[in-house]
Amino acid sequence: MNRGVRMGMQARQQAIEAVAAQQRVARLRTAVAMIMLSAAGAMLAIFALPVFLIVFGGMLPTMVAYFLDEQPGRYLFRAVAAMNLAGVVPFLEVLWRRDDGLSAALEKVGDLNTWFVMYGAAGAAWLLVYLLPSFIIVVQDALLGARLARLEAARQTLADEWGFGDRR
Amino acid sequence: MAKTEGRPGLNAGLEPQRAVAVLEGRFEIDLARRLMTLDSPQAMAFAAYDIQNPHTATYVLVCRPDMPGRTAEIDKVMAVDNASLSNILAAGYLDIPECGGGNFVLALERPAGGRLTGNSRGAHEPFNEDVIREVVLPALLNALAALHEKRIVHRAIRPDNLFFTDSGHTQVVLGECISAPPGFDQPAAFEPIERAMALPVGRGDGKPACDMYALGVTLLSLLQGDIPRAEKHSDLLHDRIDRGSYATLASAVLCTDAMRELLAGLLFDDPGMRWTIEDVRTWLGGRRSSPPVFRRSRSGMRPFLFLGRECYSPRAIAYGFSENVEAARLAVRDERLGNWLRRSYNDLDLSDAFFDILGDPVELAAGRVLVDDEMLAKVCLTFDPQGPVRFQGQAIMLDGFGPALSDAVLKGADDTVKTITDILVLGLPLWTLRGNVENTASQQFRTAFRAFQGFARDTQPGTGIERCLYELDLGMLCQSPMVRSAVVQNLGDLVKALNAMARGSEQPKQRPVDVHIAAFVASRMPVNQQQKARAASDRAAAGSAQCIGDLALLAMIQKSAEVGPLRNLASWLASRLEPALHAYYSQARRKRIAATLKKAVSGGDLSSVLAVINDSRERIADRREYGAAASQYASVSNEIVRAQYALAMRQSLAVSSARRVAAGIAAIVLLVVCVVTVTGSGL
Repeated sequence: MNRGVRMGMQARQQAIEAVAAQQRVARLRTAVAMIMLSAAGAMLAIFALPVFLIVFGGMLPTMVAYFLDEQPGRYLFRAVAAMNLAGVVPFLEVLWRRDDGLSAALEKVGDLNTWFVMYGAAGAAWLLVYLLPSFIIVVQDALLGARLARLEAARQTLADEWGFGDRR
Repeated sequence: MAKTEGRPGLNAGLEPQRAVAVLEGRFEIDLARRLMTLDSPQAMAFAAYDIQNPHTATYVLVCRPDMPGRTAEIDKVMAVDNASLSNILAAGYLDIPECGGGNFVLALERPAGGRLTGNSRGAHEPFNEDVIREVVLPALLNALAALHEKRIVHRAIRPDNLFFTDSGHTQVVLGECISAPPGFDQPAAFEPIERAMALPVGRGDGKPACDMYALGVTLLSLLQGDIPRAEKHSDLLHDRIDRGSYATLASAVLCTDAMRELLAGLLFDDPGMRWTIEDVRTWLGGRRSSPPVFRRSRSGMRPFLFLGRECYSPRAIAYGFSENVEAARLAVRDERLGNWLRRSYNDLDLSDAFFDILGDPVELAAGRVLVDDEMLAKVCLTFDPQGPVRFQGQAIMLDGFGPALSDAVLKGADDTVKTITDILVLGLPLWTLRGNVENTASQQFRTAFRAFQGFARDTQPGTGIERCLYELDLGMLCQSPMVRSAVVQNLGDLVKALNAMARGSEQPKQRPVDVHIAAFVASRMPVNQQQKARAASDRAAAGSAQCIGDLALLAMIQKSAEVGPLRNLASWLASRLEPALHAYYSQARRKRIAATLKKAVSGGDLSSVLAVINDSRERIADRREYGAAASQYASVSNEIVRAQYALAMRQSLAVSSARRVAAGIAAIVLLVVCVVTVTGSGL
């Protein structure tokens, strides 16, 4: 076996090992997130049950997005998280404002509108992430098309005046 | 050029509605009245009427259009005011279709007494010695002295070119010498040996001694009443070479010893020993000059036999060789010739020069040397350095190349033109001149023929055999097919003729400057003007040097010759300026220059046309702007590529950017909700 072949095999082996290492890191991160989430949930359940009920119930789409979004930057997760939280925050303010936290929490949990607002906000984020590219493409088409036309007109004017392209 | 026209006669001598041509607005030529007794061999005589001076009897000689006359010398000849010379009153070109068209015409005073020889060109009544001594000779000496003083050699002195100006036959004039090349019409006996060996058209201008020789034979002819020894040209020349001209021609003439002494002095074959005008005047005055001492030219002890003819001198051999080239090739290879040169003629230098030409004697003896025409010509020149250049049937004196070449061109003899071209390319005239370093005339000839050799070899415009033609014959009309129908004597005539050619709705397709015109201009235009015109074409943009060069040349001619507007020619030249116009990059500039060009063309000033199309400032600005535009074009092209790439990649870019944007929007919404919630709660 010559030296080149040996080096090629070594490089392939190194690449496989790097991917495996990344997968290990991802699994570890997921495990850490699960542990931290569980710990936070346990802490909330023990010390602030009403908040736990609203947050854990309301932020379920975010958790789903976290596990589904493996794209670099996790923008889907970020968008869903932010919007989901925006849907949850008004109900937390109600809990904050009323003294009967648990009963108020149970009241909100039992209200269908509460879930519609919290999950609707998360769904809107989800929808935004999937519809926005088409919108951007339409806008880009319009902008780039106009720019291209302007540039080609300028180039044609130069070619007509100076004969570029048809001689010399 | 004036045209013949039918018009009423202005005097009683001319009948109404007769074909009349007018020379210089002064001489009306009656083309129906031929005066055959006054014809020159190459010109027809017609009756003419002098409008300015009706009492002077005049006639005109209409020269052949295919014969190169001595038109370049007409001004010098007309400037000679001498009572013993035919008085040329006017000269110029006329288009006389009856005589071939495009004829050179001489208006002369009509000699009242006719020719000395009557109407005959041959035998006539012998003249008395006293008439010759008292009437003929003084007049001829007078005429020749006036001509030679102006450095003109007549070269047409013979009995039938002498006229009595009065009916009493007391005054003699020498006829014209313009209508034919020098020596062309002279019988061989009237030419010195070296020039008699040349073709009539190539006998050359000669020197005053040639006129003195012709004078001697003319006197001899008048004395004996006929042209001496008018038999076969070849036999006469061989006799003259071997025995000398005097012994051959004048030994049998019946005359006094004094006259014999004169003839002997004039018929010396050595031009250095030949009597001059002063010698003859001394003789006429009765004082005896030293009697001529005849020295026979050097000859071999035994003859060299060539084709059964005994040749005693190398000149005789050279002449024999020129008469039979194939036999000459064999004779040159034969060792007997070398032996004759060394042993019988006893000239080792000549023998060495002969073998230098032939090369290796062993190869020669073995028959492996090809004796070609060039080698044979060099042998003849070595044997007879004073003789003509003999090559492929041509025999031309050094000063006869002009008429010889002109004659060949005018007659359309392409083979002769090619032979003369070969002579010049091979430098055979220079071979004749080798060794003659002290002689000023030889140096001038050497310089001239070196230049002709260069021209003949060159293929650039303004060179070639055409350049040699116009340099050798300064009176030659421009022979370009484009202007041949017109009479183009000078550069002003040339541009006028081209302007006339371009008349009409459609422009000629060809270049206005062909090889003949380029050569004609190169030979007639002062060098500094040519350099200026060349500088203009040097400044021209790449690919347009030819059309700009033509324009610059013709513009220079229009300016220097002070010719008026030439709108047709300007239009013709402008139609050929496409390459120059396309040398500008900018379309807008092209349109602007084309519009300006149109205005300049309508003005007919070629210099203005040149200034518009060959504006270096415009070209520099055009180049500079082109450079800027090129970089701008490249930049725009790059931007287009980038935009096209962005358009092609918009899907993936939109997805990645949309996710970011969505996250951003969500964050903003969150922030707003938080703020509203907190502020709404009253915190």
